Amino acid sequence: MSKDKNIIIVACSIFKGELEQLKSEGLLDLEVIYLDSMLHMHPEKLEKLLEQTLPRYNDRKIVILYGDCHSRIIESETKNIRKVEGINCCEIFLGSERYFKLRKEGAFILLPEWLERWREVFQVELGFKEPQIARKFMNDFHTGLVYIDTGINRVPFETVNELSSFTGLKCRYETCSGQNLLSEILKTVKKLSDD
Amino acid sequence: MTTIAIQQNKLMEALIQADKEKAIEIITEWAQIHTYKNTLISLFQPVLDKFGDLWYKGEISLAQGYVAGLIAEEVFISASKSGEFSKEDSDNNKIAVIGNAEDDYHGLGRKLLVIFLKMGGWQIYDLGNDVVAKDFVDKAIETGASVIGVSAMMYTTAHNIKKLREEIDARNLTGKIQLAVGGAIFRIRPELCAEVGGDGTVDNALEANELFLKLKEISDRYK
Repeated sequence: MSKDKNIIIVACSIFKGELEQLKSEGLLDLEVIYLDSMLHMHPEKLEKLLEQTLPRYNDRKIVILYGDCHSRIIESETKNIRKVEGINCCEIFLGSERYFKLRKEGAFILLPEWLERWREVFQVELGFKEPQIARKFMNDFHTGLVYIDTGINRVPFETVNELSSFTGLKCRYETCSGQNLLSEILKTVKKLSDD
Repeated sequence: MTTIAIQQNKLMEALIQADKEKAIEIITEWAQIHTYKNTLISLFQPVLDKFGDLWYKGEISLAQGYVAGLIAEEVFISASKSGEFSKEDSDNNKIAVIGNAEDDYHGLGRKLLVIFLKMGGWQIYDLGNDVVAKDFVDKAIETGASVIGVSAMMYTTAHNIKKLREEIDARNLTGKIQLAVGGAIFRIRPELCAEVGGDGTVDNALEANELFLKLKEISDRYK
C-alpha cells in the first residue's frame, strides 16, 4: 500500500472510479484532487487550472495523474512534482504495449467515465450534431470501438449501443484491472520519494 | 454587394453549417459558368482563407473542419476531371511524403493536409499514422520527394520528429529533403519546430501549399 501524507495526487476525473476502488481495497492511501475530465477538450483551460492548483500544495509532493494533455504539462515537473508516464489516460490504464496494439488496430478506446459523457464530447465539444458526418469521420480514422471494462461498474451496454449506432462502429469489450494504473502511480511516488 | 461577394457569403455559411451538399452545389454552379480555375481563385480560396482565420481563433469545431476538408476533396476531384488543368499545373515535380509522427494516431490534420496539398498540385505519398523515421526517408528517396511533411498533435509525439531529423542528416540528405512539421502542438508552441529540427511550419493545412513551395525552392538549390 502507498501511504504518505506528504504526497498528493492531482488527477483527471476519468480515473476517479478506479482510484476510489483502489483506495477502498486498501491498495492506495493518498489524498486525491480531481479535475473535470472535460478539460481534455480545452487544453488551455486545463493548463491554467493546473497552474492555479499545483501551487496550493507547494508544501507537499505532487503526482500529476495526466497524460500529455496540454502543451506544457511535461514541463510542470520539478523535484517535488512528477507526472506519471503515459501519453494519455488510455495508455495509463492499459500499459504501453496493450495501448499501442489497440491503436495500431484502429481502435477507438472507450473508458467508463468518458462513455457516460459521449454526447457532450461528440455533439457539443466536437460539433458532430448529427450521426451522418460522425459516422463518416469515425470510419475514416477507426476500425471499431473497444470498451474497457475496469470492473468498477456494470457494463453500460445501452450507452455503448447508442454510441455504436451514432458512429457506425461495432464495439467489442475488454477487461482491465487497475493494476497498471496503480503501478504507474507507485513508480511516480517512488521517484518523488527518491528525490 | 457584388455577385461574387454574395456567393462567397453563401459558401461561407454552408461551411459554417457543415452543409457539404450546399457548398458543393454553390461551387459547382459557379464553376459551370466561370470555370474551375476561376472558381478556385475567386470563390473557394478567399472563403477558405476566412475559414482558416476562424479555425486559428478556435471558432471552428472539429466537425466543421472535417467537412470543409471533404468539400475541398470533392472540389479537387471535380476540378481535376474538368480538363481545365494541364499536366504543368498539377505536376512540376512537386512531390511530398506525408505522415503522422511515430506513435501519433491523430490523422485528421494529415488528411486535411493531403487534400489541400493535392489542390495545390502536389503529388502526395501518404504513409498514414505512426510512421518511423526510416520509412519516411526511404519513401522520399524512392519517390524523389523534396519535402517530408510530418504531423503531430502532442508534445511527446512531436519530439519523435527529432529521430527523422537525425535520419535525414545521417543519410547526407540535409537541405535536399526539407522537413515540414505541423499539428496542434506546433500552433501552440511554434518554437518546437526548431527544437525538433523542422525546416518550417504553418498554423493549418490551408497554408501548407505556400510552405511546401518555399521548402521545395530551398531543396532545389541542393540538387
